[in-house]
Amino acid sequence: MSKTEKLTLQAVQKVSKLARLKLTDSEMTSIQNQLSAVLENFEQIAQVNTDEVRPLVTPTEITQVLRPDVVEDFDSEKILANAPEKAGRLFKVPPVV
Amino acid sequence: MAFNDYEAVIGLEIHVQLQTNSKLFCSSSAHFGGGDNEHTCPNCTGQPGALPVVNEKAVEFGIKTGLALNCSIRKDSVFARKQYFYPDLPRGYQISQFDKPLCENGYLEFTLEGAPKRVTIERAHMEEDAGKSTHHGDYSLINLNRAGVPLMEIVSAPEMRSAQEAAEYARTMRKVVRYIGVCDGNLEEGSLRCDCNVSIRKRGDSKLGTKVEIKNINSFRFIEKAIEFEIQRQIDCKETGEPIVQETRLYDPDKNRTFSMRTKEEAHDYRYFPDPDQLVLEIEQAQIDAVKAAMPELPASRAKRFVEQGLSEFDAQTLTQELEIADYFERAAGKNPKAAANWIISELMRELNESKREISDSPIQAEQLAQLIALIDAGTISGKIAKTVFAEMWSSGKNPDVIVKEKGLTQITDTGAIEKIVDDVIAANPAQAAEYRSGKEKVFGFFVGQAMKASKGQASPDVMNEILRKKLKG
Repeated sequence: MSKTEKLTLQAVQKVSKLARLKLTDSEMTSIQNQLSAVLENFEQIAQVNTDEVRPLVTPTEITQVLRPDVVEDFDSEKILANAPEKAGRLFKVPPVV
Repeated sequence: MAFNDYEAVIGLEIHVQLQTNSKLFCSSSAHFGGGDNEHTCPNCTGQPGALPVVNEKAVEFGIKTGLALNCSIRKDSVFARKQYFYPDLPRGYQISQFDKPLCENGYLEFTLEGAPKRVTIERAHMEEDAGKSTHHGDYSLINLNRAGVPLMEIVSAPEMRSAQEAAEYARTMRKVVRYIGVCDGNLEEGSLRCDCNVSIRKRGDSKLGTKVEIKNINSFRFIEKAIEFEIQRQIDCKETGEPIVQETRLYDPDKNRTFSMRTKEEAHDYRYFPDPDQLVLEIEQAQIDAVKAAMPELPASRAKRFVEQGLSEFDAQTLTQELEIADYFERAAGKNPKAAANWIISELMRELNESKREISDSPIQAEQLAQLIALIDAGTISGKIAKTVFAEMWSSGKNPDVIVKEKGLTQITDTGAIEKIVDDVIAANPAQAAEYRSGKEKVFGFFVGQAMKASKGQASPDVMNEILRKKLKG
């Protein structure tokens, strides 16, 4: 997308659909403007010459800490207690197929 | 199978469940089974605020898998979020790897109908499994025991050209991950799952056709059948002008056909981005070296070694199909590997098949089989008697020397005793003896049978044949 081009309404609709967001028409327009501004900002950042810069995944210098492979039991009743609907010990959800 | 002007292009994505004790990002049990939702915690059920922390054993298994598949191991791999909405994925995204997978650019070698094959492994990345959902009309039920279990997704290049080749690739993959002990390879329990990408193109075309993904095939035979069906279906589409849609299809083994599941979402619809909960997974060369040093022998190298011990290529392949059988063979081989191979392949495997047992449950231990072979080689019992001893070992689990002693089965090699038997047999059958002496050499077989019977099968066949020939000539 070039600098002058605004994010299309169709693109906003697609992204909101993928994110499972229901937006009204006016929200859609407002999001369209906001997202376009965000993307413009990124385009500005993209102007910076990064040829010599190593890609950064996280902004910290800490390295990954791993966990030993040990099972710790958790009282899963506590998890199930949060479920709005259950069938036995299974979570019950609206039909998906 | 010939497809006239068309050629099939097949790539496989194999999900291998790493047999760790706990899950990839939390301490819940990763073992199969358990009560519904028993193996869950705030982390693998996606409770807000829970921080996923990587399991070090899973990383070790990931490296091991990559090395066994001749991949290069990335020293700074990155976990990414793959977003999609399905109730068995509680966070709303799967933690996977995207542009910086742990393992890349490897290959897997196998033979197909005697011809060597090498299939490129594009990548093998770490990710967590989703939960299990079952559907009941107006509601669905969710079990999250499997959610968060560590997987390696192993992606081949689209290099395979036939259903047979794809199935053999998958079989070899299962063999490798079982040999290195990272996965139990249990297809029924879903520890190894195979998705096949199939497309067709006119022979000579370099452009790939529209690919169709066939999901969740749970046996190697079905991989073969599903791909064969799919190739034919796509050719029929081309021939009749019907468009081939990029989609996911399921295979129905009862009807031997594939059917459409859903239209495949484009890759960027998953909106991957690096998971901010995770730091770069840094691997040091020393760790790679340590895993490499501890790598068990792979099936191909083992089969090669068996051939060097005097086995046929076929026997070596048969014995290395399953890790447990290869181990059994090595323990039984002793001084006579060829005999051990024969006994295992023709006798033991038959008994195991008939009683539907695994070799680990064999009533005859490898060491006992080695003893039996040693008894034959020492001339203590004949090969024929050995079969009787083997049957007795199978039913009683006793050591072969005990059985031989108890039943008095020791081979008679004493020439005097055998001469006596032969004399008696010739005396009892004067007519046949005369026939033999008049030139009808066929009758010799009759005397062998009679004399063997008289010795209750215990006479040394070599010694007896020699004496019979001498005495009959008179």
